[in-house]
Amino acid sequence: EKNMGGGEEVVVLDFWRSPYAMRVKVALEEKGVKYVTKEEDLGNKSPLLLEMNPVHKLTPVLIHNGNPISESLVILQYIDEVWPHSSPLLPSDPYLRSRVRFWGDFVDKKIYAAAKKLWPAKGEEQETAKREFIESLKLLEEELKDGPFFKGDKFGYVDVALVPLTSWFYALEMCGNFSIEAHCPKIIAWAKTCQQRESVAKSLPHPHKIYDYVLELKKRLGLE
Amino acid sequence: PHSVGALHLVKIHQLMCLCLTKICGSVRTHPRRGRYICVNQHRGQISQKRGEFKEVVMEEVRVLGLWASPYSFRVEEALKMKGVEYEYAEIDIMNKTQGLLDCNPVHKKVPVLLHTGKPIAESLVIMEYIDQVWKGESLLPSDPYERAQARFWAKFIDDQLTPAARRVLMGQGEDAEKAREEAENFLKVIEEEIKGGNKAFQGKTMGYIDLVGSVVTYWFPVLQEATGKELVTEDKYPAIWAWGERVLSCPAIKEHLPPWDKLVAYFRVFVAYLNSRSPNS
Repeated sequence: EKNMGGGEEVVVLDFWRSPYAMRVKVALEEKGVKYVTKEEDLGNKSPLLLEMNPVHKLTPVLIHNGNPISESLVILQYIDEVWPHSSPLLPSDPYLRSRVRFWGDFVDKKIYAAAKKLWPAKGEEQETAKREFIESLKLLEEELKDGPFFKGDKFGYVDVALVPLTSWFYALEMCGNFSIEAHCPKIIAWAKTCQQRESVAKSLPHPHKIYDYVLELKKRLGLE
Repeated sequence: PHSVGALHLVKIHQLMCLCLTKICGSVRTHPRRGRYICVNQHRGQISQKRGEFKEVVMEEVRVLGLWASPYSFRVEEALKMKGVEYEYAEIDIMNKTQGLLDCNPVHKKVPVLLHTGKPIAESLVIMEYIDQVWKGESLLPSDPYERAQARFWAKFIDDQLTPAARRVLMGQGEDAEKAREEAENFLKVIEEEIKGGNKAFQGKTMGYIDLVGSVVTYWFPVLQEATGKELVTEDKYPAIWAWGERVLSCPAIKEHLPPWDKLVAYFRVFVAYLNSRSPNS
């Protein structure tokens, strides 16, 4: 069921490189919700962004009928609750829901956190970040045993949480001089399956674009 | 038949990786790997000591907690608000006979809720679970937008404010002072939100954000007394203080909070231990 009736206004304050913003776009695409994006330049934040997310002043922000919601995982749960009829992201069983929430939190606190440390670091610091990244990814990989996706045969919350980072995989591998596939082949296979979904293909930038950006940023920050 | 030598020990934070039903849930000490939860499926019996067998009662609802932990408190209080009967088992991080043990990820992974043997970790995840499974007084608001707000502020308190406040109150030297500015900015944010009448903090009945917020309104002041450092005071943050007064004076909460003096004493020892271990942390 497409988004309900007239008068619904859905705006995403976006940033093309932000994997958090990509999560929101993938979710809305999955649900078939019509939305508009406003690209933010985080070096020059718009008054709308500052008004809608005064706490963190970061993307993404979902503005639904004028009401702002921040924090990508909070937004995902909101989207699932407001548009429940198509492509549920979270399972309805309370225990399975709790597992999915746990893994979403894990993706943020372990995998994304390690990735953030990985690309700018060098030497021992980078080795530590790499280790953390791979170990966390391996732990998560075990959750793929029941199906192509984390929930089994349905694309869901944990998939949406992690898939944006796959656009960063190439950059991470180049910066860290390692192969993710060598350590976590199932994750790479999963990523390829996800790429075939329209929602993902539409919302993720090409990995080379991300890498170009990372190189540029490293140069600017003097991190080569 | 179960033998002590064949215990299958699992680090608490790996519990969620396993598909488990009817696990024992008792806390054991492995001579090399420290404290773990026994995830064996005992058939009605468990050996506590060599040669001693006790009937194990598989309680439907079990909380593995730590009396001094604000995260443990939230979960227990949530269950109590729903009128759920549960069995509580204390995870003794501070082993008095051996001196203080290493508090690392295990500390963060308390509490764990076991419901018909299925484990759920992470206090915020547990609270959502409790709210979904047991009817009665709702913990989270029913409106999706208000729910999103409550979740946002809970994450803010747990992921932004509390780590900074911990560095201020439990840390030392330069790092503690650097963290102070961060922590004070975060506190100002919440102060402004409450002053601005944000509905998330203004619930008529006790709920999710009040329980989550008890770390700010009760545990921070406790740490302040234990370490002699200042952070949340009535004159600096009157709105936060008032929020705290409202929540903590609620008879049910007052009755169940860990006693002030005991908690202060606990954290005095705990912080001294942390600082003795790594003077640069």
